[in-house]
Amino acid sequence: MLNYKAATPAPLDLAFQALADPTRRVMVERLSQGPASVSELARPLDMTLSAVVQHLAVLEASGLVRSQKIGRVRTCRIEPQTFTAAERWLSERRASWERRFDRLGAFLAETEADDDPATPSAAPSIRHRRKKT
Amino acid sequence: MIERSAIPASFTIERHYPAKPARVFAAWASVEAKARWAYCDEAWKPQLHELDFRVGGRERAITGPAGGTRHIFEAVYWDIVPDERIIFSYDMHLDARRISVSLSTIEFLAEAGGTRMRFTEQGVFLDGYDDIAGREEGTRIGLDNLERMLRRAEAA
Amino acid sequence: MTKRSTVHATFTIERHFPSPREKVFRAYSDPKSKAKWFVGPEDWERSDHKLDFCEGGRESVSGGPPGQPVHYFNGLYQDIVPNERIVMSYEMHMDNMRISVSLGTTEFKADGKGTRLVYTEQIVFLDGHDHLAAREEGTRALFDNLAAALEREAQAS
Repeated sequence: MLNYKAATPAPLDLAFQALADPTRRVMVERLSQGPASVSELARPLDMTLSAVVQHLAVLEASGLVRSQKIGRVRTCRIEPQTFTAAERWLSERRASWERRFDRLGAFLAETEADDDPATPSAAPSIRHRRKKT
Repeated sequence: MIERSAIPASFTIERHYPAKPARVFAAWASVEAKARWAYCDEAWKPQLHELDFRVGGRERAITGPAGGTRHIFEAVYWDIVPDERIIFSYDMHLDARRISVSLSTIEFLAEAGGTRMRFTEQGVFLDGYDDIAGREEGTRIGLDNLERMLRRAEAA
Repeated sequence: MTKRSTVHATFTIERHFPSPREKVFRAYSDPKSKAKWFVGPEDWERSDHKLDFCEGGRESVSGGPPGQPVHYFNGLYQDIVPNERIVMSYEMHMDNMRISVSLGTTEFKADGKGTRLVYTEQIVFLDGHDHLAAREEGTRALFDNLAAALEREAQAS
């Protein structure tokens, strides 16, 4: 559960939730290279247009993405102002620890054999499973 | 002239590990163990890592991309309850500039199948380090490179 | 055996002082000045107040009502920007038990001819000793002391 207090209230919770989905991350990555229409965004994604539109709605609600309809074309772009420096710092700190805790999990799995052999441990196959970040 | 500001923020991260609390705790308690998981980026070789793991002891680590900005982590340990809890304060410098000071609490709680590790950080972000050029290519800090993506979008 | 627990909390106190920032900051940085206001209630006995005001420097003081548990304050200066900001981490003990660890940020902002002081404390209370209201109240009392000390100083000059 994300629980933070910042001097300037901001929809960081929404942004975290928006980016928790891999499809939406792909969309944001694409938009970071430049604006795109909805159909351009949808092209590489293996889903219906309406599913894409739903994802886009979540991204817009979070303030990360802005879209504008001109004629029949809706163009989407990243909204960089959404993230103040403080929020970027917070999200970096958090993400940096999350990555480290991923590696901690891998380290614990790797060193499981060093545990007391008399102690029954979880399935030995855990040792060979490495989470790719 | 640097515009001074100090913005407080906190967050909590919980993880479950299939290992006993003593083992998870031990992973925090030595330089050898920490070297296996505790650096910001696997690609960065630490120039320095010292750890004196006791109440009042200090930890210092200097990492960063080769030839690039130095990320300096300096901590003081305030509370250590073996296999149960660690509390330390730390600050982060990018080169000569202090960007944040934080208090970290780590709790190791026995639960079915292993340990629940609860990490709480209460920190203060200093002087809007947004201006610091610290974003080298390959820096993987941030929500899936969000920072880098946003900067590219700004430049577009 | 101690039952282990933690409670995290944050509070902020803002106070205006008619003195300029340099004077308010000096009340923190000069050991003699600090000792005049960084004190508990009048009936408390008090040990030596030690202050080494520099980044990495330490501060400590003990005190308490006679015959009652001794409060011990032990702090480390993390960040000092003269006349603008102090960030310190500190622990509180009661007798020999650590009851809390905190990060305290004090900002000194110019406010007309005076100073707006903004103090934010981010605390972790340990093992059942979560007395946020008492901590806030005690901090406000210190600022009352500071106000009185600054006023005496202003009148003396």
